[in-house]
Amino acid sequence: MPSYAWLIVWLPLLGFVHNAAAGFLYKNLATRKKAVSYVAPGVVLLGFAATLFVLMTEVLPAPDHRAIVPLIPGLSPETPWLSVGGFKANFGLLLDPLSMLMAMVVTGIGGLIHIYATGYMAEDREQPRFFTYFNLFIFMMLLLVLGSNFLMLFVGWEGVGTCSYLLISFWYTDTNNAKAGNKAFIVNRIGDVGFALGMMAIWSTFGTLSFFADKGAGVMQMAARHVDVLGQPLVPAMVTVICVCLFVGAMGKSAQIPLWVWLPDAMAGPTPVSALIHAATMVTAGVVMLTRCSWLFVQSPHALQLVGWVGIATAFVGATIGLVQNDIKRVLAFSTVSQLGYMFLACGVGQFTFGMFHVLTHACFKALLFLGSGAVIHSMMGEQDMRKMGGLKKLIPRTCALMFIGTYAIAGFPLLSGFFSKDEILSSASASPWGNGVLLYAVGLITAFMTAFYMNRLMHKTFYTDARFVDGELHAHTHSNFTAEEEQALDAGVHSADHAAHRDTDDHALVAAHSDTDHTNDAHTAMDDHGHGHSGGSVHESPPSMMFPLYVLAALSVVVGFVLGPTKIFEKFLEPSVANLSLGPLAKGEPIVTEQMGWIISSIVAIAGLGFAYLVYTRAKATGEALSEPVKAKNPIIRFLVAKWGFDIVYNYVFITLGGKFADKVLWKYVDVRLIDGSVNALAGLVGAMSNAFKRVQTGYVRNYALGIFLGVVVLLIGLLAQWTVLNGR
Amino acid sequence: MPSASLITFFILAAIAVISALLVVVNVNPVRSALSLVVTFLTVAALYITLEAQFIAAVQIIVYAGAIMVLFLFVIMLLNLSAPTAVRETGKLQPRVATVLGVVFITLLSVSPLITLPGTPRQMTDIGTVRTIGLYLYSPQLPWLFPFEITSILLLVAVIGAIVMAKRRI
Amino acid sequence: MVPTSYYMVLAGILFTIGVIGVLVKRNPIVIFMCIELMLNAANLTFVALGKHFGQVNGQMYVIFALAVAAAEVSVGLGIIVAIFRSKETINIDEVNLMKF
Repeated sequence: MPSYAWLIVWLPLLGFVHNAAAGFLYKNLATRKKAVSYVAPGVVLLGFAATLFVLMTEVLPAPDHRAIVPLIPGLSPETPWLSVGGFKANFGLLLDPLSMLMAMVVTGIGGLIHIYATGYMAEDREQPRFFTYFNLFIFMMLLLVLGSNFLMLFVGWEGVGTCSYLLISFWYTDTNNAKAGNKAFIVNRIGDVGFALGMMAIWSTFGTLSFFADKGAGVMQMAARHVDVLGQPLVPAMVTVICVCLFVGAMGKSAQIPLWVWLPDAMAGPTPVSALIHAATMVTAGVVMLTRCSWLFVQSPHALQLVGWVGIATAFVGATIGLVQNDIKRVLAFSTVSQLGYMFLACGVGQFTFGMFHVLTHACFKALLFLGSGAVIHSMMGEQDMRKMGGLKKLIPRTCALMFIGTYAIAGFPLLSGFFSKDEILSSASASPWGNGVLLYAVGLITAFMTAFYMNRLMHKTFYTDARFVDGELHAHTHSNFTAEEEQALDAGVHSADHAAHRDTDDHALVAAHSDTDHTNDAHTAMDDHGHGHSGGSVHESPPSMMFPLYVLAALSVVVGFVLGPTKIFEKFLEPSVANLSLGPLAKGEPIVTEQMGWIISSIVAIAGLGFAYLVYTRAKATGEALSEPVKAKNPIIRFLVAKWGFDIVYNYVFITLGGKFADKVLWKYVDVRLIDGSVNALAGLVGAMSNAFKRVQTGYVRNYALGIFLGVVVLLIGLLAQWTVLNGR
Repeated sequence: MPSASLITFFILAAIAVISALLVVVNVNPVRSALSLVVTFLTVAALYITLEAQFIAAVQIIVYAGAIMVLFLFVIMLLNLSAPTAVRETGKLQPRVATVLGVVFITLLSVSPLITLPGTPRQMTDIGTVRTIGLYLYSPQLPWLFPFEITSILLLVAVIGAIVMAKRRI
Repeated sequence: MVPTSYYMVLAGILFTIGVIGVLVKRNPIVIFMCIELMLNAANLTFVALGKHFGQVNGQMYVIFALAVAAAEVSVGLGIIVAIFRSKETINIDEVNLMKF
């Protein structure tokens, strides 16, 4: 029976093409937006249906639950895409539990976010462009998770990086958004260098880039047998090198220390982007890749240790910074960084399955939280600063309830999904195969406490404390690439040129006050109203297109945990895709506490965190601030946290300031101008000098030329005589 | 006591060399030309010792009789009796030339190319008019064709000389 | 019997004198005369070697060399006349337009 897996991938691409061509297909803007708003979520949800179908008919019945099918229907999956010398890469799709799981997450949760985005972006003039990028992202992400070899994964990897850049800087007329997009892409690329090196190392060791292939010729199969392409035993140092290089790529994509600095700035993009890309899917690509390569990682204790330490450090640092953020999306961004750290911690102790479980639960509740915060922002007419919120429980009760569920899920409140996944990670961390279990467990618990605290802090500041604004006099902060006048002109059919340039100069006066290490407010300048005349607006619930996905995600956040966790359904499902720790030299340790004790401790920590926040912020109900401004300004710890542990400061200084000076003084003025230009010019000068010297032969006197001829004759004669003497031995 | 032919040879050689040197050394071009005539005559005598009688005669007729006359005509035409104005262009050239010349002749003399195996053959009528004529005009030998072509060569030379020297074409 | 090598050395000396003359003299006509001297030396070599090997070919070459020399002299002198007709001096070093 032919495979239908290609549908999963090609449907979003079809959506991309349609949305891109929407300008040609539909002349009326309203019609265009309506068509796009049906097609874009539609193709993704159809993809979800196709994923389920493929799962039932192709994956579960297959031996080992694994099938390799062609990307282009009709071609064999072995059809080469690149065949250069000994290097071959082909076009196949790998269907196994891991890729199916991720495909379901991407298309399912992605589809919900698409539906949400139709409501969120309804008033934006450039909504078709948004969905073009959005669908393209889904396509690339599916290539990433479904690719049957490293090269296809890398195509998807780069593709999602590109879409991330396109979507972060969607409102490009504000330079800060463009800079945030640049930052995301550039930092990602640094990681990609490591990934590419890892791929090259893999190819040189295993001779192929395919994960699995016939007759055990895939990378993972060879790794399972501990052999390389020549049949020799694997060199452990080489495996470590490969794993470390791949992990560098994961560090960039999944925002681990030291390459995490782009994620908070990425909040400059529209909220659905933050939800889809920077919470549920793209940032988890690193974890997915590590799980896919688990056969390699379990054989390298050094690489596992590196992953584990980086993971726990990132979790801790992210949580500490989240404690002091004022922008609602920034809190969630740092929370994402922190939760990603947990996932890598799980991978680092060899329990990739639990890392993926946390990916799944995190996708549900983080998407819920982001979309909910988007609903809050939408209700507040664009306001993102929590210091100007408060008292929203009465005004938008349903959003509040949904955010409540999300908060308690991420905090790890018992029986919600976050509880199960986080607990599994913590207990496996305590049973770390390379020791330090106690330290990992302790720091993990502290981070969980902080997570619970700052999430509840978010809830209080936004909903439960007294209102710090006047309802009915909300000033609209809408994002758009056009000013109000331009919108009206465009509506009237007159095309105004140079709107971007005009825009830039207007906003720069406001934006200039914000630096890149902005900690008070993210790039959110006061913009003009658009044609709705919303100054003096009031808070209202979001439209159904935005609320419906929230309900679904809330339900998922509640049930996914206990349905899949304690019943071990998830573990069993994912088993064929993950390597066992016993394949390598390490063995799983003993957990510090029993399973039941672990549950109790996790619950206590979660409730303690939530409760502490409750106490602090109920006390400060009137102002919503736990500490007064002078204290915040002077306290060194708070300033350190607000400066994001100094990462941005250091990076800006080293790479931008120093790097810029280096590039200017050394690379440009010395290497380029003096060395390279100098040597080329010197060569030309040398030719000139030699010509000047040699031209003196041309005296113009015939007698001199004749002398030259005679000189040549004499030399010839000498040569002839010498030759004859040598030949005849005279 | 060396043989008579050897003595003749040395006397003729000495005259030839001395007159050649005079050609080069003289400042007055007319005297140079006259010395050159003497050289040609000596060389003709040497040809006779080599039993190339026809060549000797032709040498005198053509070289001494025609070419040198032409030279003298041109010298007179350009009115070069007086020594030309001296313009020094450096002493390097004459010195290098002399040194090189000495080197050249020395190398040539000591080179083994000079000594040839065997002795000269005695053929009494090797250079007679009859022999030359037979060689030049025999269709079997290759010399007939160049002989005829030489006439065209001379025609071309005549035309060329006229074209060169005319004031207006 | 005069050994052929004597003739060849003599011819060599005459040739060298001719070469030195070409290189040293500044009057173009005298230079031309020295060229004729060189040609004569070559003819002498031809005849001597022809006699040595008992062949008439040596003398045949000389006949044609003689004819060519005559033609060459006429044309060459024509050129010299053409060049130096308009100049005051007959110094060959005046013709140096190809100087760098």
